[in-house]
Amino acid sequence: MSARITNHIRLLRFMAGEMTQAELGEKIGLTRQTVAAIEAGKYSPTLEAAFRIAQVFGKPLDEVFQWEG
Amino acid sequence: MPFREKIAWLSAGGILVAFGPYFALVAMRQPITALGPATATGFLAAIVTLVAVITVASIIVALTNLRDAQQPSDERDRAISRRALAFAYPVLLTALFAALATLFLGAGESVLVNAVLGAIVLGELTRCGVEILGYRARA
Repeated sequence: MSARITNHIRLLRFMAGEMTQAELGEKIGLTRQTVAAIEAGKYSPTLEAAFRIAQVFGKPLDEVFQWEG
Repeated sequence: MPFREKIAWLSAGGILVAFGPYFALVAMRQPITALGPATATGFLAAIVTLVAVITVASIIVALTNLRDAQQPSDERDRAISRRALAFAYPVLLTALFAALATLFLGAGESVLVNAVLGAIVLGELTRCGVEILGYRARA
């Protein structure tokens, strides 16, 4: 299976005043390393964490995460 | 590198540094007959080395990564830890049963004790290894 979850977190962080990974992590209760892993597509967050990330940027979930099946 | 991955590397390194020489000494003492003062001393030395290496190294890593060290584990850390335990547990059980099987093959108490110790070391190394892989691989 080559399907994977991609995201626009890096772009959204940039557009949110160049928010750092650590700052985003603090807002959603994740470590900086986990935010980096999510951004890099190395870790797929739980649904709850995904919703929290989308909430921080004020975007619907599917504008932050995409399923490339 | 995530703080908890560093701790996993440290644990694996500490185990190898402590128990590598111990098992090398045990293997060189042929035949492995009875438990004696030499085995007890070696075992004690391995435990003291393990505790010392992991404690000192963990303090150094924590002090040089103070911010990361103060952060509680998050969902990814817990998922990686769960996966590592789930993988290491059957390895530990299999190795323990293999250790117990040495009794039926006529091995003595010294072999049994060291085989059980080896099983625990193998289980712990497996746990550390799967944790390290968990932090490095796509999950």
